[in-house]
Amino acid sequence: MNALLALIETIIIILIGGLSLGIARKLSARMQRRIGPSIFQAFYDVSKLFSKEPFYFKRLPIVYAISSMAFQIAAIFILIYGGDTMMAFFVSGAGAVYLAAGAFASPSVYSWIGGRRELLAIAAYEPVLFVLALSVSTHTHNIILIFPAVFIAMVPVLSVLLERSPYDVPAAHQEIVTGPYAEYAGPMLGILNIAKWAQLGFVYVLISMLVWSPTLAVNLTLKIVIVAAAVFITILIDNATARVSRKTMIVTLPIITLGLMALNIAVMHLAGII
Amino acid sequence: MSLKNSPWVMHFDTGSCNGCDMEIWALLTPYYDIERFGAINAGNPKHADVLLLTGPVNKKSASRLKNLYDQVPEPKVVIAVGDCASTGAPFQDCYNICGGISTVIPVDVFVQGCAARPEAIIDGFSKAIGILEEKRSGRHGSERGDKVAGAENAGIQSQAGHDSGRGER
Repeated sequence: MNALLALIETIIIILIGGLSLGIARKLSARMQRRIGPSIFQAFYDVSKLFSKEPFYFKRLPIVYAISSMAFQIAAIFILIYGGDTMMAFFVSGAGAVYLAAGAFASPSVYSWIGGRRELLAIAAYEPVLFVLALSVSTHTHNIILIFPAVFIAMVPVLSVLLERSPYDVPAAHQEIVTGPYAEYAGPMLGILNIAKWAQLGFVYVLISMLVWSPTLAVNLTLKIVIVAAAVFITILIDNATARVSRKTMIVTLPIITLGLMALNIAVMHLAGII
Repeated sequence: MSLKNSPWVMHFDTGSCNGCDMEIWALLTPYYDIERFGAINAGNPKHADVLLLTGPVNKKSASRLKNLYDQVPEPKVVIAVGDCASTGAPFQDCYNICGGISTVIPVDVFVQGCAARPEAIIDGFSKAIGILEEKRSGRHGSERGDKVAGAENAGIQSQAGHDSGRGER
């Protein structure tokens, strides 16, 4: 019964991940004074992709795409079911690596460039996500009051995951014909989109664990507000910046975020709070 | 319903003067905002549903156009944007020109004008989305070829020609 409940919650979180992509596109459009697509656009896109002709060229990338989705969903399930947070983090990381592996398994050069960039992005954001997972697994109270830098550090990570400037290096839209997704078409692209929703959902759950309240209603409101704030700041930065090069990304993303967190810990220690 | 709400576009220039291409890029600006239909510029034939094509198809790009068309998964629609893409227009008899998109691949919607106005492209685009939905549900008959689409666009042709003549500065 408990497992069933966790499964239902997992599905809801994946759908929230999909909804957030639509909301992000709508927000971005409104910031540019456009009308923009529906907030359910991500669901329309995936339902369309599943109605398209299957366009398979090799069997191996399909295995990687399905593994990527399965691992991302498993990561959420582990987290919700009360498993180890670090374990969930590494399972989610494996799902991200499978996406890059799927890109390398196809014969296209564009796909390879995308795969390489995806690996660089993983190298840049996974340490930051690791610190977040570590902080939420070792503390149970309102972490954001002691470590506000952890929340700020999540914005560049969301920038990579939502494929938004300045760190949208792997997909890069037109530049390398959407990077690791270049050789996928139809239903397989749909499966990878669901993997992306699940990965986003996983990160949202980690972010929402930064706040906590004993009252259920207040708790839920706080969690929704903090995730919405993180997405909003990411979109705001997206509309104000241009894409950086992959070298700049791999240097600046970890230095800024991990540096901020180190500063945070140092200040808190000197102030005598921790 | 699903295809109608998310037509992903791929734009390919088969040797146009870039006039129509600029009008296509204008569709992404806040004024015309084609993204409100759920469209994105995919830039990858394997992700695309709608091919937006410009230019009179020179001999070099004909094989590439065929290649790109084959990479788009079914169901797909093709829009020929502008006079050159429709008939070859002033370049029709040139030694290096095939003379319109329809000489290489089947076209579903012709948008007239030199350059085609953004409003005309949006109109053709919404017609193409309808055809896309017909194709998915199998209602799209094989007899509905270039002729019918051309007749439907006759009104737009005169309107666009009138506008582009007036718009000269």
